[in-house]
Amino acid sequence: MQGKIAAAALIVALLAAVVWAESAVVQRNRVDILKGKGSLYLPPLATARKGDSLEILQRDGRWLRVRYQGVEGFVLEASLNGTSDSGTTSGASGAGNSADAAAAAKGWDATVWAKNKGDKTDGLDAMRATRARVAADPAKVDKFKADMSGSTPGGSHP
Amino acid sequence: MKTFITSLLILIGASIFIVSCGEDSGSGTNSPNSGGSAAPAFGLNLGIPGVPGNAFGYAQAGLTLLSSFTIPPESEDAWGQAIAISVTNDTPIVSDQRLNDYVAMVGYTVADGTPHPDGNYVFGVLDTDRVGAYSGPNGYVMITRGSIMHMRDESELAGVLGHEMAHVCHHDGLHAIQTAKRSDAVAQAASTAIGNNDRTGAFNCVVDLGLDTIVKKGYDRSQELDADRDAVKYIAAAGYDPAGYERFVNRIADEQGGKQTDLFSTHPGFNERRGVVATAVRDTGRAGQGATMRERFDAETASIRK
Repeated sequence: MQGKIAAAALIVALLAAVVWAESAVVQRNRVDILKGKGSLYLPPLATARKGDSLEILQRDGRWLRVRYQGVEGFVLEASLNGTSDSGTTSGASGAGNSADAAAAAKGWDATVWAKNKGDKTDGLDAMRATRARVAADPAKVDKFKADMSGSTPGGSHP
Repeated sequence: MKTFITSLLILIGASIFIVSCGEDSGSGTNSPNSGGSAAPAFGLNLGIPGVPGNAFGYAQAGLTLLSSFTIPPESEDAWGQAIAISVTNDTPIVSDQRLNDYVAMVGYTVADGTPHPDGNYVFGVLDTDRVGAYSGPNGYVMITRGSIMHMRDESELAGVLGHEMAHVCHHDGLHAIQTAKRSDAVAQAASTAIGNNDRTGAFNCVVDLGLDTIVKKGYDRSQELDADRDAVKYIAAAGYDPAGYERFVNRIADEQGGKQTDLFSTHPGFNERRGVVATAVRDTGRAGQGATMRERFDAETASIRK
């Protein structure tokens, strides 16, 4: 009898493990869900807010592949629990994003500031365009990084 | 009776209006210091203990205010944009797309070694022979063509970008602005703008402070040395030879013979800096290891080496 109970408990535990999906609750005010692993993949696919739950699909080093409200993407694990104060926000990902709009609504609008001064925004636009160009070819970026592992280490040139 | 009900309705309507106005004036503020007093007018975290939450109080307390407020993330980006706009109006971005793309890809590679690989970073190469690099709040990183011309391989470029990205990760731009010494004129202008509920005017004043600090005066000694230390860590973690940054710092120091460049004009003395970088490189235990990518660097920067 005891053996049957133990077996049943084991089966229940195994079934629970199969159907249980690991999840994490966002502790910070916002966490961006990115298309890939890195800032190159801004703007985000979605933004989870504090208290939202993310389903963890896979762990990949410092990154998690997650599902949030039907959207699958990547988040930095440290960004979930509030131990890592984000060094930056996704605000510069392009004109018209939510951070830009929020800032503008509060009077923090660099474009208006530049216009008042008679400054052009060509340089900022060029920097953004560079980022968009690089982001458009993720395979090239991956190769760029992968080529480093096969390179000659170190150097002592003057 | 009819008049009474009408008056009552008017009173209720007026109360709702007053409450909604109060909420509106406080929207966007999440000051931990406001303590339930009337909300500040700018959607900024301007509340400080003991200062009345009204225009008169702010105008009187302008200097204190400017050194006390915290900045919400979305406005940090606006500051970064303003710094980038200002720097690139003075010195344009090179038109060479290949060079810009290359520097950006090195930057994104270094980003993998930072605590914030998910952060916002944008890069640009400034078209000048001067040796220099700048970073604005929230990830706006610019390096001069002249700096790249003084480099010998990609690990050196990674080191300088890493130094600027360390400033971003440390929020040094914000800290510099908040602790900037400011003239009475600027403080008065900012106070007046705040008092007049002129958000754009206040932004102008604060950005000017940031420009003065970040572009002209530079970060303080401890911020620079911390950025040097973390640059070494970042590039080592990203797979580069950490000694690359040390080589570049030493070369510039030797070439300048103690004379400061734009890059180092406000930085700590060369000897101190050399020592800090050398120690940081040694501490990684990876000096001479990791990639230098010299051939790729030569190929990608050939256009400015003719």
